[in-house]
Amino acid sequence: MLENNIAKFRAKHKLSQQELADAIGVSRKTISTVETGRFTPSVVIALSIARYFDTRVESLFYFE
Amino acid sequence: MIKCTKQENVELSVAEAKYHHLKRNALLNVMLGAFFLYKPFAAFTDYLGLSSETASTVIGFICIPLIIYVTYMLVSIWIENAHIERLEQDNDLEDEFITYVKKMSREITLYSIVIIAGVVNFLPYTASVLINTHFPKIVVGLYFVICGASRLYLLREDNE
Repeated sequence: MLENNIAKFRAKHKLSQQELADAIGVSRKTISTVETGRFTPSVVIALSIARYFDTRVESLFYFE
Repeated sequence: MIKCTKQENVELSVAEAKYHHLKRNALLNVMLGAFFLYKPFAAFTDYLGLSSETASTVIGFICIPLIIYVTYMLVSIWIENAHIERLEQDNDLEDEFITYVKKMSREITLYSIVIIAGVVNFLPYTASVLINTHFPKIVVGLYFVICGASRLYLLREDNE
């Protein structure tokens, strides 16, 4: 199962879901559903989030 | 009060505007579907001997403000859609969750209608005659209700 560290990265950067969503150009709902694992993002979204946090995709998403 | 005014003035991003637009659209779909299903439902309760004159009078009175509200929603959604289309020209990244919700709701609706059609085959003759009489309204009503309800479910707020 695909897990992610987006919530941890957001907390580290003191960002809300809305602020991250606005920065990436998606809705807050997209970020919240990706965080909770309800929705699997495409490579474009995954890379956009990774680029925003200046990290690698593997640090954000991993298999449990 | 001041806080509320401030919140209303916040300009939504394209993706966020699309999300709210889809949610309002889903609610409108459910309402429109209910309008389409009203007559077949009344005929069905009549068939079962459950209809009452008082209930139909009350529903008739409820329908008037509902029609006004639905008309208002239709116009506001149409204006909102034009606004989003204008904003979309500057933003080329599609919000994937919204696309996913639209695709899923269409699939749920299609499969539900197929299952309902299958179940209808096993109904007694008089009930199937009743369904055949109101067939277009039932199909359109079910499409709107299931599509709207599934979208509302997928777009639900669950304290993430």
